[in-house]
Amino acid sequence: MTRIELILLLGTALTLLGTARVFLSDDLIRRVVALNVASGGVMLLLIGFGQRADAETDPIPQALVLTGIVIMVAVTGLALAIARRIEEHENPNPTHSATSDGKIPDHEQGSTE
Amino acid sequence: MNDLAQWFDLILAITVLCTALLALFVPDRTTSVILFLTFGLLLAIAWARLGAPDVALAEAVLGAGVTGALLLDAVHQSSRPVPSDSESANSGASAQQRSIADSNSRPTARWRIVDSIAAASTIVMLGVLGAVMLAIGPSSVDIATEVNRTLDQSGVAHPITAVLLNFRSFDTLMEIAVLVAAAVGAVALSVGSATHSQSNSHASEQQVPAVLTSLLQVLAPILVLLIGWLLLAGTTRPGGAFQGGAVLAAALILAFLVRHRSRSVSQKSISYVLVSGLVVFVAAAVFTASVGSGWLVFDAAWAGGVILAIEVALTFSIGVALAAIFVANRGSVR
Repeated sequence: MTRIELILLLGTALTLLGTARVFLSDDLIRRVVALNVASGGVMLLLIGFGQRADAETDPIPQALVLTGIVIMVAVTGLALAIARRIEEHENPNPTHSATSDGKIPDHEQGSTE
Repeated sequence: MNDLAQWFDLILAITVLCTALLALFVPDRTTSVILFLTFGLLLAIAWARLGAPDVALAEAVLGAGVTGALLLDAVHQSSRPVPSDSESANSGASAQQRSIADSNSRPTARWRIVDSIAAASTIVMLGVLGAVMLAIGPSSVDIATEVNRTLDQSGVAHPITAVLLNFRSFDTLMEIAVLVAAAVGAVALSVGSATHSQSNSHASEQQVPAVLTSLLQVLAPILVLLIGWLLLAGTTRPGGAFQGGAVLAAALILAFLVRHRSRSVSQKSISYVLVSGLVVFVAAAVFTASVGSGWLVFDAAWAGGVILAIEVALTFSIGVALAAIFVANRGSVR
């Protein structure tokens, strides 16, 4: 199996599993994660298709994937904002006491990677 | 390609698949998010292996970095109780039988049938779609050669930047429009939410770890230098407005986490920077339509300058838009 075939199969698997999970999960945040996994699969497929011609790397799929990554972050942020409002609505009296500790180190970890 | 590289690719592909499966099916929310961050970093390595360094850079900063900050924050601030340990302990024995859907909150018998059907159809689809993907032949049009042939008229020397900001610049125009719309939407949603009032009232109680403050002091100048370099590098090599904007977003988020108690940035100044990328881009489109030969058709003579101007505005817009989405999710836009 060549590298491109491997990438195409991996992309197919990620796209399908992610999409299935988007539809079948109850948890809104898990759905956002699943959507991101599915988009990763689609991007692998795009790049994989762009590389099948042996001659040169096709820059257009790469440009599309670059655009896609930025769009996915924006979609994730908006989806999480909506999910947050929905969960607030479902649980009018949230217990925030446990969340005030340890927030900052997590963000530090997340944003500096 | 030698044997070692082939083995590396195979192991990388299997690891990516396993991490994704775990991120999708692990019972705990936080674990899922952290596994997804690992997935993003592994994907960045995969992009580098596939000869797509531009994508690898963006994925490492955005896919793993900014998305990670957003998801971890959502998990930690979530008002909904995380699926508890006791629940997962109860179902621990049957965890392997647990199929695609969450079984936590569902009546078991009926949903188990639905889940089995979903799992079976996913596997069938996987086989069919995988076969189709492998069967599709190479495209008859050699776009790569075409891009390289016209590259010297595009105003930049890097083919991907040429595609993004010259040959297919409408895509990028639409992208920044979507980004601005998402930022406006997220900010609008944050106004008046419970986390909004909660974070304002608790803001003074939050302690910023000293290590985070020192980290920002060390990182800030390096990040500014990196943003400028990425921005200018985009004309000749991997880099450009997207990667620079992504690093700017990460830097702004870091600065927000350290300084948000003492500084408040006004919404107005944020929104000017937010729309600047879109405004400059549309202005360039109108200019080329009225003076030049058509919407976003750049003459080779001045294409380089226009592209650089658009890229500078895009970098600031992308960085501020992504940071605004994060801050809106924290519920602290003032």
